[in-house]
Amino acid sequence: MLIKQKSSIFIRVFFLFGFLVLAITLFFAFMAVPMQKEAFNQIMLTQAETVSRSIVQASSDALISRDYGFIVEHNVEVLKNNISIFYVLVSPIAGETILVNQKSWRLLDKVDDELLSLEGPDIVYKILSYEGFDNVYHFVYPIIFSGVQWGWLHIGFSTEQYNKLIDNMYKQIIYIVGLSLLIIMAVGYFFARWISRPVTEISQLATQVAGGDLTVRSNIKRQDEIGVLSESFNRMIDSLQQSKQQLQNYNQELEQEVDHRTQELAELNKGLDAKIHEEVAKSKQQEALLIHQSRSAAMGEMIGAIAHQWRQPLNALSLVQQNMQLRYEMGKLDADFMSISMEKSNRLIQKMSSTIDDFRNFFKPNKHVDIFYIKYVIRATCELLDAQLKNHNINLTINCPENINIVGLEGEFSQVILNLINNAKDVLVERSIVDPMITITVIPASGNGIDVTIKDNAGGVPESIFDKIYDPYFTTKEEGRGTGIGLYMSKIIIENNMGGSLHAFNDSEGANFVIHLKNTPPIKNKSIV
Amino acid sequence: MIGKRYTWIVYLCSLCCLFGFNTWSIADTQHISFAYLETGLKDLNDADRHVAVQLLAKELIRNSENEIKVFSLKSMAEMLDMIKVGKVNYVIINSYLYLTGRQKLQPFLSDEIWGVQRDKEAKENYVLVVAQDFNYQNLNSLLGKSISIHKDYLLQNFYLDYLVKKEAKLPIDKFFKRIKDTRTNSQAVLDVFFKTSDSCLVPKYVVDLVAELNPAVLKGIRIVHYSGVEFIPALVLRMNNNSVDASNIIRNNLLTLSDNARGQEIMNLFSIKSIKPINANALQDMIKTYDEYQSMTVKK
Repeated sequence: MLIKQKSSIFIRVFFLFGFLVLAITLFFAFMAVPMQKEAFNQIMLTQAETVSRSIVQASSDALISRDYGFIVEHNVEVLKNNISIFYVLVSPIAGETILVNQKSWRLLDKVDDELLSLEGPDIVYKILSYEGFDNVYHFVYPIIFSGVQWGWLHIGFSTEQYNKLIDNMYKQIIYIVGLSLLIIMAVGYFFARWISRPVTEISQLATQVAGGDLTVRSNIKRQDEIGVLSESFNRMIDSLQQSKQQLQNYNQELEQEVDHRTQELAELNKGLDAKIHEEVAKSKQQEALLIHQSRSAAMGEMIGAIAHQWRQPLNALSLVQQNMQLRYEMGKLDADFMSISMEKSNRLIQKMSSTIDDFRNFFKPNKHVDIFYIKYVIRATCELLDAQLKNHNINLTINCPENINIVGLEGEFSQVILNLINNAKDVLVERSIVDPMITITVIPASGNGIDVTIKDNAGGVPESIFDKIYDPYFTTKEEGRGTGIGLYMSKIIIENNMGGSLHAFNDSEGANFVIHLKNTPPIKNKSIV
Repeated sequence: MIGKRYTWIVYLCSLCCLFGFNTWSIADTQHISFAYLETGLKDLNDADRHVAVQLLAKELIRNSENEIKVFSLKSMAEMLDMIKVGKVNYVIINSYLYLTGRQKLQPFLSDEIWGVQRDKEAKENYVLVVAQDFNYQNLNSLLGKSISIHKDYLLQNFYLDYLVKKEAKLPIDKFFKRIKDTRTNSQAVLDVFFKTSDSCLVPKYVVDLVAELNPAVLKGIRIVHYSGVEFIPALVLRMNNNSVDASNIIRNNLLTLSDNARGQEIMNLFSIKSIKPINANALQDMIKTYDEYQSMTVKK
């Protein structure tokens, strides 16, 4: 990978440098070719014009006086001294046309049509074949003396020199390009190496650093950006090393701190356990106190209920005794009456005994989880409060199918019903509701369970206290009349001991407390009450 | 002490060697002087002429330690003055000038004479050329006509003068209506061919040369007179004051001059083909003709 990167930078720089230099060289070389050709052409033209002018000037007298001997001799001499001239043709408008070449001279009867077509007022030239020579630079120079055209001078120049110059030029260009290539390769190699080597070196060092080796350093010392990069790299490694060292120190300090904190926490945990135990114990104590208060409250209420239950039979028993006394005083106490009175008395005493049994059963502490019929339990509970309800003219209605039974703690469920009826009774009495009414409705709930709703028509629970009614020691009753733990205990019994739920809502008439119970709830064996 | 003594001996030996070599070197080095008359070498312009003679002189002392001196002289008198004082070892001279100063030069000359050759042969035969179309049969038929001649060639002009004097008994300027000075001998022939001149006097080889370039020329011209006398255009004369060694070196170099490229180039500058040794008798025809001309002049 490293080698690949190195090659990539090196080759890119090398080829970029080579391409640029070669492109510039080729550009100038190919720009120079047409310019050089044009320059050579101009040289040829100038040379031809100079030679022509020289011949014409030297031969001017001879041309005018038609001294052909001089003309021939002069041109023979010119050709002898100038091997690049193939021939000279003197074509006067009137007179002999003389052609002189390197080997001979002769008079022409007629000038070739091709050459004749070139004769005009201006200097012209053309590459043609003539006198056995190919590629002749044929130059035509009009001979004019004092504005009078005398004739034309045709000179055939060899293009060999011109071609040689062009060939030399191409050769030179090839040499230059070749030499440039060699120089490009050499200079490009060192240039690319000069550029890529430090980058590659720093890249390799960076890879080593990335691998975790912070001991490496760049040895590049240059007075340019790469030198700055090298110094920065070394500073960065120094900084990294310092940071790493600091991090290690921090880590050690942190570990020590963690150990210290762990130790402190362990010590704190020990204290916390003790505190938790203490708090749990306090909680249990408080709960026990609550239970005790609840039981006391319940017992107080039950005693009141017993008093209500016993008042009527006691009055009846008192009447029976008064009747027996009156009959005795009247002497009408006979055996039949006595028997009837005794039977009546026994029945009343029996009833009172039964009432006591009922209350005793209600307060029996340990009850077993068992299947019980809802209607039976509700009815039995209502009978405990029957006297009080009647005393306040409260109409209690129970709407419950006969065959609904559940598994649970019968006594505690009964206590919850009792609490809810008591609460309804108290608020009905407190608010002096006309036609007070409590309705207990049991219906199968959706899914697996039943809903027991205790509804009154006392106007409902104020919205402001809805969130607090299940709090312990919260009560709306007059001081000394309520403990504030009835609903709290009821909720605990239903939700904790019977796996159900207790919630309340208001309707147009009053409050509705709904007990939702499952048919097979995870019942705790032990009652909290 | 012994070491110091030897050191002095080494110093002395070194000094002796140094002076000895120098003395030997100075003794061996010799200045060879060449002199030429400008009037006789008009084929070359002034600058080229002196350079060409210098190059020739240098080539002639090739492979020797000698040094050269080249004197460009204006007149025969000046040349004679220098020869008399021994300042000149070799003379390069036009044959006509040799003929004119022969009597005075002779005491200083050795028997080593070199003749300049412009064609295949050293000796040149002059011809009188006329146009084919005209009925000119001899020199006398050209009376009152024109003639083309290269005036720089003194010997040709001398011969024309001699011929006219001999054949027509008239001075040349009286005989010909017009004497045209041509730049070259070839042009003189061409003048006749193109009929811009009635006649010309040129060496025979020039006619051949012109005909070689254009054989049609021969159809337009005709030779009506041959000189018969064979002329040598220029001479290289060795003075008798020259040392034997230097003479040998120069002789050898002159003999091999045309064998090497540099020698050829130098001779091309002079428009000559070679420089060959000639016998003194080879000059006799020219001398006789000149003497005859002189006698005709004296008579007149």
